[in-house]
Amino acid sequence: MTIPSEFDTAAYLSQMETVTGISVQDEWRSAVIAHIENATRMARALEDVSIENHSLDLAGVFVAGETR
Amino acid sequence: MTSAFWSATTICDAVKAQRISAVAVVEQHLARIAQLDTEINAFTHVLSERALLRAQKLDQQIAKGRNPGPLCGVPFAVKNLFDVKGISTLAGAKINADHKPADKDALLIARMESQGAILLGALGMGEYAYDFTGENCHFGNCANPWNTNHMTGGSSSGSGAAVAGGLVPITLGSDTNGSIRVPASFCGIFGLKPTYGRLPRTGTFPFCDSFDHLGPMTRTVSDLVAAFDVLQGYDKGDHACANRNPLTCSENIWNEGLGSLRIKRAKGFFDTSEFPAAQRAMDKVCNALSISETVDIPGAADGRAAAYLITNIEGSRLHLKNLQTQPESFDPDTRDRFIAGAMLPASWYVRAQQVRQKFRQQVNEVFRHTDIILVPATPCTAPKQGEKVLMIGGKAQMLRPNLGIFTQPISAIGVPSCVVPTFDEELNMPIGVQVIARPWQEDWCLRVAAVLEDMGFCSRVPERLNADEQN
Repeated sequence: MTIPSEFDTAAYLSQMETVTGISVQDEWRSAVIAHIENATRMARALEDVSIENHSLDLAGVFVAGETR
Repeated sequence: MTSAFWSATTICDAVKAQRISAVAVVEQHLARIAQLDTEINAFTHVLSERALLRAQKLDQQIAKGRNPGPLCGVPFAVKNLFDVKGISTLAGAKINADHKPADKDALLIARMESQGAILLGALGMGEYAYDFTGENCHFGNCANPWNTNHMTGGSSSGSGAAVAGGLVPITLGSDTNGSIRVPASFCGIFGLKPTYGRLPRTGTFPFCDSFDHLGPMTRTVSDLVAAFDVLQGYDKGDHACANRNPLTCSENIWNEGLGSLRIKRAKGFFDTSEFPAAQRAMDKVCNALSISETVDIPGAADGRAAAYLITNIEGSRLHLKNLQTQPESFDPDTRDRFIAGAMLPASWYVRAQQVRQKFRQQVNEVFRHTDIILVPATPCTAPKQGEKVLMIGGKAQMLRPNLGIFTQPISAIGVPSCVVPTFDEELNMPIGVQVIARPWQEDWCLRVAAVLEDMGFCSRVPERLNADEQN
């Protein structure tokens, strides 16, 4: 999944308010956008990690240290 | 004689020998809380009646020649996400104040008390544990005993401040991304985040299930060891609790020293060159241990990014209903992050879990040739309350999510970490270093912590409180 470089966070937030049923007041909007943008930076970094295309190897709740 | 700043082991020995009664210890600590906590704001509930009744019973047992256990007469307190019988489990949230009171204590409280400890109260925290600062708009900010204008760190803010301020010798906290280790670093105390699955979370309010850990915070390694030994043991009430034999650290760590442990200093993501206080702390510890070998932890930045997203999304899901129906009841600083997390795509979450799995395998490889990794606990000493910005890579970043930049990758893969305090003379504030071991080797972390404590890396009494003690 590629995250577009021109990601319109404000438009995304408006759409997701409807999807999630969360109403964001105007005075909160800039802070929520900043947090979504921060998350987007994290997500972009994860897209760059080399993982086999067909792998769905999830961590979930795991036994720490176990190597399979 | 005042027992403030006595270690738990000193209190236990004195109470058992009847040099001081458990009642006197409790009374002295309650008096200290009454004197100092208006300024520090560590406690949300002080359980005076319960504590005094329990102390009386312990004194009666001792008078009859019984041994109540290795924590006999030791006062302790817990982050207010632990259930305490008779009070609502706040988890730092105003929303939870309406919850019905807990009908029994969390399992770890019961384990502490079964070995003679005395619960003195519940401690403040960042709302729903989504916090590295110690700030809370509902119940007030917790103040750092070293300088009350500065943050304690969070989210186990009250747990860090209560120990550093000499209000109790042991507290229990929780750590999802660094919430024991950040306040331990800022408050100048020891804090242990055990291996994920080591300590049962039965009877505690969750944040992010696959990252949530519980652990002790103390002023000495011996107290950390005493508490950790008492807290261990499988419980089916926590689905993530591992059914393993407990370590008996109190018997085993003291005479081994560093032995043949292969200790290395982390580099790469954990490089501290742009964080002078963290750099000084790491230099001091590595010089003291004569550690010159470095190790790269591949994938740490990716692991941290994965932890960030997983926490944001899992935590938001937990609170979705309240975000929909009463968002104005949240602390704005946590609400805005939770709302963001509730809106992120599912594919980002799945990707984060994949990367987390890969990072875990990468770190397991590192531990094939390394036993202990030394890592900074925080990028800086405690910032002033209200600060919002941290400079990283020459860019202004949000302070709140980034105080855990060095702790978050570690909890993402569940390895144990013990924070050891150092003192920064330039800033006159403490800052910690993490001692990290492979999974299930908390005893190795504690061995290194004990050696460092012997070398002088110990929890100091804040000067302003030391003066109080002398008066």
